[in-house]
Amino acid sequence: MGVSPFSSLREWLDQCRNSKREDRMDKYYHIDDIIMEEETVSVIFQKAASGVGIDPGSTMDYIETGSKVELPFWLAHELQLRQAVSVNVPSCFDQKTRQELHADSAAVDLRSRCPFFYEFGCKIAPIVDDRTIGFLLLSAFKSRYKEILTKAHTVTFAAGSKFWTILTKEEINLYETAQSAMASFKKWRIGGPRFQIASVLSRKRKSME
Amino acid sequence: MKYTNLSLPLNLQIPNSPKTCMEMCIQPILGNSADPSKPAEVLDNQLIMESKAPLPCLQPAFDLIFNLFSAFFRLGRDSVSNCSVLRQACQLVKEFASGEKGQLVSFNSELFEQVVAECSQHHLELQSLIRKIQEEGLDIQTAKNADHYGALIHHLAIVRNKRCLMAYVYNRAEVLRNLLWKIGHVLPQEIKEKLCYAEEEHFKKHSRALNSYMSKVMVNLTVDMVPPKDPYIKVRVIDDIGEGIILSDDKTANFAPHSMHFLKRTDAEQFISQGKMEEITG
Repeated sequence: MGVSPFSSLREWLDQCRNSKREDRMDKYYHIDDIIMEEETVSVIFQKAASGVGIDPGSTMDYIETGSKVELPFWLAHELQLRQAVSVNVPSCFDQKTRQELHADSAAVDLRSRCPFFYEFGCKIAPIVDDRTIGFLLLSAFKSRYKEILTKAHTVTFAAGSKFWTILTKEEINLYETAQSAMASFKKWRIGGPRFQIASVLSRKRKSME
Repeated sequence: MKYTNLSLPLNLQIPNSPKTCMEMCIQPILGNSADPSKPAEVLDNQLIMESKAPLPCLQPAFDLIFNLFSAFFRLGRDSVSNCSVLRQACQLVKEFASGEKGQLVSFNSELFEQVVAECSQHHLELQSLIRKIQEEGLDIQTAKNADHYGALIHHLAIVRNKRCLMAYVYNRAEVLRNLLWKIGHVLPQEIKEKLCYAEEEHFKKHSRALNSYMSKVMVNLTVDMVPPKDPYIKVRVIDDIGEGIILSDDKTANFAPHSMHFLKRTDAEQFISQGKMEEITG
């Protein structure tokens, strides 16, 4: 083709970089993304900062170098990019969770640890120096995914409701998608009214009865 | 004031990227202290505009967001509360998320105002920190002292609050526009009550825009949302509709409750989605 392999590589890298930026753009209005970034992480300040009251341990509006503070992820991340703080591994990825996941991943209550376990993990992995988080997420997801899909297709709603209190937000989305797919399939097979009252209104009507 | 009159940088990145962030934070403040004649609102609006270049197709949505913000920013300026740090904004978003998908909860103007007031508070503290740096004779671009990081934190908090506010308004507007397709151009009272004034206006404008487009292309786009198998369907009336409804073939029909009819699909569709009729099958 007469094009050096390097130029195409560079193009590819550029594309990656651009797509990454667009990703960030894409999620600007995402409700779940915003809520997820509110998760707190503990950080250690590498630089002092004045005029902010985010350290509950100090009475003055001043943060000393080396003080340990709990910050929401969005703030911790931006400060970490500027080397103002170093981020500790959040407690939901600690040794205890790992052992439990290793023993029986499908039974672990991940929601109480972090409602956005996977997404949060993906965001936190590049900024803490723990290389194993990626593997942890992948193996946890793989083994739980199977369980979720089987249950979504077989369990009735009442029995299933106990099961889904331990799922993370991402898993619940999967679970609901699987269930609605099954419901639409059944509806299609049986037939029936294809055109119905708008869902916004039908809920109202039910509650009034 | 229309935003098109402002000379806005259209290619600015979203305020997440590391480099532009601090520059953005300093730029408006420097502009402010250098030119006190410039009204403060302009600067605030500039901050709002920076994240998104206006696209023509988003014009109505953008108008809505713009009106809301300019209204509330003026409010927020007067009533600065002594908020500690940055927790209200996410509450607003969580409230939206707690509602079911596609449903609206009432517009929480109280919380909205609090978040805006929080922004103003951060803005004031940010300004005082920047002023302090300037008084010490340091260069703002290069000085990386405690004041710099304090200002940075305040700046990030403003950016975050802004994102929460934008997301709240944007997602509500999206739900609202979807309602137009689902239940037609007239909103029922129970939904109307949940909207704020700007949202109602937005809905009206969107409906008008859709109508004028449909009359231009001469196609009614809001019918046949489910692909029809038959142009006629059997329906039963389940709610009071009223007499003398004129159908598309210029005949009038008397839709008494519990009566059954054989209608053109396109005529029946709006009544079904409003819950006044149901389709009879089998």
